[in-house]
Amino acid sequence: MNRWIPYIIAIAFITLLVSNNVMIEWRKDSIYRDLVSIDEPVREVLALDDFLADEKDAETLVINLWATWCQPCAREIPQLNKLVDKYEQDGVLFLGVNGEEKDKVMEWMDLQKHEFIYFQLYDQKKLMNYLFQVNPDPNFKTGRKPQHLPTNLIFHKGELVYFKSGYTKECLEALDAKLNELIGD
Amino acid sequence: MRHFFRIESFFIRSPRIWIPFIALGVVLFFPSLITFWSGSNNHFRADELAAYASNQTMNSSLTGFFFVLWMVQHFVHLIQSGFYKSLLVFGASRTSLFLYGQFQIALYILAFVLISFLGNVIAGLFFGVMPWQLLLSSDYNSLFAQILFLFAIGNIAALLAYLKPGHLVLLPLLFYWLLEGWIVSQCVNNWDLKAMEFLPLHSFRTIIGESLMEWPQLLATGVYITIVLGLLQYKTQKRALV
Repeated sequence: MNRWIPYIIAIAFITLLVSNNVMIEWRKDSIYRDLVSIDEPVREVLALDDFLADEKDAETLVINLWATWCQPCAREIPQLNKLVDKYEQDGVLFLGVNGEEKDKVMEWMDLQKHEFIYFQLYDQKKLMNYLFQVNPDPNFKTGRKPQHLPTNLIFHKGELVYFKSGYTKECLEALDAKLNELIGD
Repeated sequence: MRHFFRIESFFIRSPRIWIPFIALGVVLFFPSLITFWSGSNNHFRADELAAYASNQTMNSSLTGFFFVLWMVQHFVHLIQSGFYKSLLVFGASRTSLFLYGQFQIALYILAFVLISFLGNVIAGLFFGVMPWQLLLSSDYNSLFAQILFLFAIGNIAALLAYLKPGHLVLLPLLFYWLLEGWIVSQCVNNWDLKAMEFLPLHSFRTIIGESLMEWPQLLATGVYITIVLGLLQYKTQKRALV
């Protein structure tokens, strides 16, 4: 019996390791397991907004997560404005989601060269955290790097079809291509 | 178990243990301070900053690095000073010696986790983060992963001490730790060669990594821990203690 002790400890170790891994995976899925669709929290926030309540049933939502302190986010605004011009008439709703207070963002916006022509949701830290956690990368542990801004997501017919962090030409081209593909459908 | 605890609590009460613990606390306090500072630069505040700092600490292998150093010198001292031999002379079996080693690893894991938490608590106070915010914002799965990681490398430390009971055994270990990290990063970054990620220390480090462990990685880690524990048991049974 004594010589089996290290192997019993090893089995216990492996069991705990696998359980911990499974639990992390389960917690990751549990964020949206009880929701009707993955974009339900966004639509709930839209329903509470006086101006955007009518838009809550939009088929395609493009969401830009950003902050005033994020320089690449500011550089992305004119590029996103171009996409709004291109896809707005196809029923695509563009939304900027920010965790800061409206007054602070407005003050910042007054100093900027470009203004956004898409709708904004302010003071939405909780929603931002949720959106970071729906990262579809199967190896991504929940909520690890919320400082990755800007991040763009597309929800189409209640499904997450696009999720990319960072501001690069390739990211914007991929966003444009994905929207083009969805409109084509 | 009570017997193990009595012996170990006697060790912990001695300045030979708690003075290095204080030094370790000071050493771990500075990385905590840097983590809080970088989190604060990333515009995290209060609970978010607490969660960030706690996650960074739990995903860092620095605690593991100090833990290996600690455990190697502790085991080497107990072998060289004839303490294990005296336990055998007074009637302990070699199997209980093995179990005592496991108990020591578990006890010092708790001590390290506590010291690392205290480092975070003190550093957090400078950034307006209260201790309860750290407790409530911690990801307990990450904490558990850190404990498993420390247990795995604690056993490597015990095995090394039994194989070569001298403090100089730390040098090749440190060299290998750095070399393996460098080889893995070179292979992944330059040649996209994922096979190197199955090297022993890297496999253990994936327990606390940013990614979920995949089945091959879990299997490799399981095989390594089984080999380490098997060899440790073998050396405990066979080694002629001083």
